[in-house]
Formats: sequence, structure tokens, C-alpha cells
Amino acid sequence: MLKLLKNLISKYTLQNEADFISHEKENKHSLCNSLKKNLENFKNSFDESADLTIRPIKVLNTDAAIITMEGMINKETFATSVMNPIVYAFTKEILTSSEKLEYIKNNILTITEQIDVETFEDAFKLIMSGFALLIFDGCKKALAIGVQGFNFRSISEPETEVMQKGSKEGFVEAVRINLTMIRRRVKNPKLKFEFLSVGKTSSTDICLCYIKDIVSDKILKELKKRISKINLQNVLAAEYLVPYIEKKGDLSFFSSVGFSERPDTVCGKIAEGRIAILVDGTPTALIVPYLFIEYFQTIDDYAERPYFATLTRWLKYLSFFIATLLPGLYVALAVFNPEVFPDRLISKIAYSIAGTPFPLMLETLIIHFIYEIMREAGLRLPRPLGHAVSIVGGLVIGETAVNAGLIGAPTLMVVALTAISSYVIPNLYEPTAILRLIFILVGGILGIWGVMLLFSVLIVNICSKSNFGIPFVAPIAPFNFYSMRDVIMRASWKTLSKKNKNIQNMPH
Amino acid sequence: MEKKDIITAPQLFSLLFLCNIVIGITYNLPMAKSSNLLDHILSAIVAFFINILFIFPIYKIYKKNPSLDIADNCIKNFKKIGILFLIIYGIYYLFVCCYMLSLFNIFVRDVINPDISLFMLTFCVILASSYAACKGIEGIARACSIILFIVCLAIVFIIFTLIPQIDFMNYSPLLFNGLNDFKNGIFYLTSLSFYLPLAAILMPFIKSGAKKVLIATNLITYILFAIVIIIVVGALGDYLKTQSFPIYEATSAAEIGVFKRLDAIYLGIFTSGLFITISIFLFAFFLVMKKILGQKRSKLIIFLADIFLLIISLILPIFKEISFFFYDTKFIFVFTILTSFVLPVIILLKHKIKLKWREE
Repeated sequence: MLKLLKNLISKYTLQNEADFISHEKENKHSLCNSLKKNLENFKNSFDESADLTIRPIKVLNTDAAIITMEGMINKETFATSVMNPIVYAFTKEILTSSEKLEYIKNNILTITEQIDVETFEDAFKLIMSGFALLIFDGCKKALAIGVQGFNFRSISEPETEVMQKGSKEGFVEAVRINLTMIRRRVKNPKLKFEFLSVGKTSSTDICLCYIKDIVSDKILKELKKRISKINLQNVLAAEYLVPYIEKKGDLSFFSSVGFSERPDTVCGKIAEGRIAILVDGTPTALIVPYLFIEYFQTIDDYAERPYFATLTRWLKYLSFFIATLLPGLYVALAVFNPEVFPDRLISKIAYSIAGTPFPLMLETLIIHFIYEIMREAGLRLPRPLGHAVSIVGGLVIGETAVNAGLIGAPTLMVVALTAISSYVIPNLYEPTAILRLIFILVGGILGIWGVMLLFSVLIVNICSKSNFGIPFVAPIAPFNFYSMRDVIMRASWKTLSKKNKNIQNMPH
Repeated sequence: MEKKDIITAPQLFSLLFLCNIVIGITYNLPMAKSSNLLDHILSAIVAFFINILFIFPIYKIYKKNPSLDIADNCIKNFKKIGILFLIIYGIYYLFVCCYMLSLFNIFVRDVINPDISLFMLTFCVILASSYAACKGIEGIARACSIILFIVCLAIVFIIFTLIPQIDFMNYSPLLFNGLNDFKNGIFYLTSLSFYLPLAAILMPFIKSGAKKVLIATNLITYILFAIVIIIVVGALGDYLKTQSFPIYEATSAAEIGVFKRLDAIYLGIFTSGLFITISIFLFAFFLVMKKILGQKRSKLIIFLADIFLLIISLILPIFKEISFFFYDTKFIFVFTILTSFVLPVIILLKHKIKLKWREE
């Protein structure tokens, strides 16, 4: 009963952000005066984990200890900037333990990042983030010293977002390194990084990045509220947070949370009033709110001449329709309305359909499934083997199946064209892959009516979606003429920079 | 349903206009009891002015309190008798759904006759429309504006492909066969003004510009209608007289360059337009049912309405006795006049009487 009441109370308090903070404080345990007890508590809490290093030392004639996590600190910095000065520290004054800690902090240590710690929970978090914790006997406070120095992957171009022009930098797994990449690009004091923690077990650091004067306070407040309600045990990838950030009950195929591994893309979004969420341990930044039209915008568009950028923009739209609709339309028209094809083309299609043993819908589905299997295998296999799979899949299975009369060449061509088109907008691959299969099924059962009906339902589904009060399909519906400069065309920078393009100014 | 300005005036226009386009592309000479489509251009001009007259009471009611729809006004002014009015509106919205869907079924069964199950197709249309109606007016209105854009492009394309096929010999003088076709045309066009009772319930969802929306819908619909008649008559001539769906026949004959047999475009326009039309009328039906039965019970009625819609739309093309009643222009005319003019006028009068009593 008591537990239930506690749960209810905690649920209620979580709803209010201010209350949430006080609730957090209440559950924290303060450090005590006794060094022995403090160290015991650390050992017990970490269950004497092998990577917890506790080094008892004497500092200014007082018993003290330095606690670190193996592999999380830079040993050289630790030795030269922390251990050496502390061990050799000297003062003629008679000081209490608390005063000694302050003396060390203000007069001995040269490291700038120093944080006073009063609770075990804060201490755990900082130690696990690569800080060294200095505790004195007889003092209720500890000092966390920033000596982070864990190994991380070097900065390289993200493989999932390769661009011809622009920066070749991509995010890495360490969130603090990612922050520097953003800060270097937006040298504005209003750029704010706000750390929060999610995951009951993993206590993963997440960082909200936004520009104070540009971001909508309403959206920011709502985002923090949604994050405070995340009840995951572990957050091992940024994508874990998406269902919690999206609107409740959102069952759409399309996500209204954007992803990017590129700091320049994230900076561009932040400058438009969006909020980026960086998750420690993953190189992907989440961007909210995100619009459907943004799936078709890449950083390359803005680095090219407007004419070519407009052409590529339209190629992306076309590719999306091909990737989603083409196989379904092909099946629907070839089966139910063959008269719409030119005479010569329909004779080829009819010849191929007649020569294969399966109905066209089944044939298209089979080829699609084989393609998806090969794609999945190609992704998971080591690269040299991946190439072999591509050759086997493309040449051996494809050509042999056509020659053997198991599948038709036009169908294979349609599927191949669809597959290539789906890679033009890689972020939309997942929804298009599923929709494509549904369109094939519907096209094979209900013909052009089914395809048009499903297409209309899809439009309603996308149109009824909104996140943080911003319609997902803005500025197309609700329509905003001025925003078309970056939708139906990519206007020149002179035009684009004329008017504020903040997300909260989108029509809604 | 909270009525706030959640859709824009252009979105309301696109909803009403798309409904009219769907009605326009299913324009049917046998149902209009006419043989000369060209006379319907004059009918359209008269129907335009009649509709302006019908707009007046609906708009007046809306103007008195823009946050109340016609259903709210019925309850507010007539209390329990108002429920009877609501039932009439509910039946009307459901009737339009049945009418449109059964017309679609007739088209699929009699004109196209494809190798697909009509039951399955009807079921899917109802399922999809119910889904859209449940998603709410915002989703339907936004989707409608996108679909309308595609539909308009398709119509313009079809018109351009038909222009080269126009033969001036196909045009006969206006009122060549007397006034009969002209009168029947007025009757038929006015009876198909389904958008007026629909506007009466949807207007509170917009912030402003209802008057412009209604007049623009009326004007553009009849202009488009006149253009389509001129082109279709010019391209098909006497061949039209024997066709149930003349616009479909025109698209089948249309060709330009490599583009031949544009009937697939017609099928696309018809399907997506029908989907939006049924969705929005079902949504209007839900709104009325919520007023009568409340939120919880209306869900059951929605389900029952879907089943009713499925049965009626499948039965209508088969049983001529019922279909005659459903497609009888006189019946539709009376029903449309009742919901778009008579009931709003009664509400308006009651409102005025109430005000007078208060003043006295």
C-alpha cells in the first residue's frame, strides 16, 4: 500500500518540472564526515567493481582518498595536474578538513573543471563520467576534478550521410566532443547546452542544444516534460528516446523526430529554432520538431547553385514516389488496367507475365523479399563478404532466375529501380520499404483503386500528424507560400536569408 | 469536439470544392433526365444564383455566433425539437455517403467491370474513410488540399488533351430542344449542392472568411463545370447521350503524344476524391451523432453507420426499386433544399422571434 502511494506520489510529482527537481534532491544521499564510511559506501555501491580505483592518500596531513574509474581518465593529466600538486601541497595555517578541501581547490589545483559534490548520486555520476573525486576525512563535501580522458573514435565523415560539399566531420560517441563540434560552428553566447540524465540503470547523459533567443519556450518546456517521463532502464542509442519524444499515440510510419550525424546539419537546424538532443554513447543527434519536407533537404542542397539544387530536390521527390508507389502501381496497372501502357510495352510485359509461373503480385513480392534479405545480409556481413553477396544476389540469382523463366525481366527492373530510388532519401528507407510492400499487396488485390485509396489514406495519416504543435506536413498543408522557396525550389541564399525561417513560425 | 480555428479558410474551400469536383465528374445525363448537356451551361448559371440564395441563411446563422455550427444552433433554438432537425441532418450526411459510394459501385460494376471484388473495394473505401473521419477535420482538410492540388493538375491535363479533339460541329444551339433540358439541369444541379449543408457544420472550424469560401466554391464550381461541359461536348458530341459517365468516356478518348487512354487518371481522381468526400461527410455525421447521443454512444452509431453504408451501397446498384428512390432528382432536391435552406431559415426565424421576445 505504502509502495503504491509512493508510486502515485512520484508519478504526480513527475508531472511538474519544478517538483521533479525537488523530488530528485529528496532521493539523494549526502556524503558523511567519515572517510571510512564514505569509501565503504562507494565500494558497496559499485559492488567492488574491478574498474573502481580508490587510492588513499594523505593531503595536508589529513586522510583523504582519490576515487577514479579505470579507463575513464587521462592518466598523464591526472598524475601531473592532480596527484603531484595534491601530494606535495603544503600550508602553514591550521585548517579544518572543509577548509583544506577549499584550499586545494583554490590554491593547488590548476584544472579548471572542478565541481563540489555533496551527494553520493552526484559523485557516482561524475566518477563514471571520467572525473577524479577527492574526499577528505571529516568533510561532508568532495571535489570532482575533470580529468576525463577515455578513448573515443576519431572524428570522421558519417557513412550514413555522405555529402559532396561541406564539412567532412561527423559526430562521435562522446557527447562532450560533439558539443565542441557544435560550439565551433555556432559562436553565439546564446547557444545553450543543457544536460539531463535518462535511463534508470544506465543513467545516460543527454544534452539538449538550442539557441536561447530563437527556440520556442513552449516547445522546450514540452520536450523537457516528455523527457522527464522516460522510464527506460537503459538508453544505449538515441533512437530509444524517439517514442517518448513523439506525440502520444503516434502510430505513423514516418517519424517526426529527425536524425543526423553531421554537426553542420544540426547547427543549421538549431539556427532555425529546433532543439537537438545529443545522447552520450551514440553519434546520432535527434532533432525536434522535424517536418516531413526536411527528409528531402540535405546540406549539399545549400552548397550548390540554386538551379541544380532545385533539380536534385525534385529528383528526391520523384525518387520517393518511385520507391513507394512504383511496384504497387506496376502490379495494379499490369494486372487490371494494361490498356494504359503503350502497345509495345504491354506486349513485352504480357510476354514476361505469361512466361513466369507466379502471379505478378506474388512475383513482385518474392523479388522484394529476396532483395530485402540480400540488403540485410549485406549490411551485417563483413565488407569483403558483403561484396560477394551483392554479386551473388545481383548476377547469379537475378540473371539466372530471369533466364530460367522464374521471374520476369520487367518486374526485376521495376524492383531494381525502386531499390535504387529508395537510397536517394536514406532517412526514409524504413517507411518506404514497408509502404512499398503494402502498396504491392493492395495493388494486386484492388488494382488502381486500392493504390489510390491507400495513397489517400497515407496522405491523411501524414497530414494528421503533428509534433509539439507543428504540423508534420507544414508548410505544404497548412500552406505557406513564402516557405515554398525551400520546398518546390531551393532559392538562392539572398532570398532564403530575407525572412525568418524559425520552426515556430511555420503555419499551424 | 472542440471547435476552434483549427483549419484555414482555403482548406475549407478545398474540402467543399473537392466534393463538388467528385459530383461533377460523376455527372450523369440519364439521372439528369436530359439529352443535351450543352443546355446545362445555362442551368449552371441559374443554379449558381439559386445557391447564392441558399448560402444566405446558412451564413446568417453562422454570423450570429461563429463558434456554433448548425447542429448547435438546432439544439440552442429548439431544444428537444432540435434533435429532430439533427436527425434530419444526420440522415442527410449519411445519405450523401450512400449516394456517392453507390454511384462509385455502379461505375465500377457497370462501366469498368474489373476482376476485383466489389464488396472488398467498397469495404476498403468505407474502412479508409472511417479512419480518416476518426483522424479528425485537421487531417482530412490538410490531405484534401494536397489531393485537390493533384486533382486540379490532372483535370487541367485532361482538358488540354481533349482540346485538340474538339469538333465545332458537335455544338448545337442552346435550348435547341426547348426548355426541358435546361429546367432538368437546374433541378439536377441544385439537388447536388451537397456542399451547403456540409459547410453549415464545418464553418465554425475556421477563423474567418466563411463568406468568401462559400461564394468562391459556388462560383469556381460552376465555372469549372461550364468549361468541362464545353470541352466534353465538343470532343464527344452525340456519343455523350448514351453514356452514363460522360466525363469518364471523354478521358478514355483523350490522347496527346505518347499519353493515351487517360481513364486511369479519371479512376485516380474519382477514388481519392470519393475518399475525401465520404470521409468529410462521415465526419459531419459523427459530429451530429455526438450532439444527439454523446461521445460514447456515438462510437457505436459510427460502427453501425459503416455497416449500413456498406449494405446500402452494395444493394443500391442491384435493386432498381430502391435505387430509383435514391437517385430520384426530386427526392434529392427536396432533401437538399430542406437541409440547406428550409431548416436554416426556420432556425433563423426562431432566433429572430427569440430576440424580439427578449426585447419586449
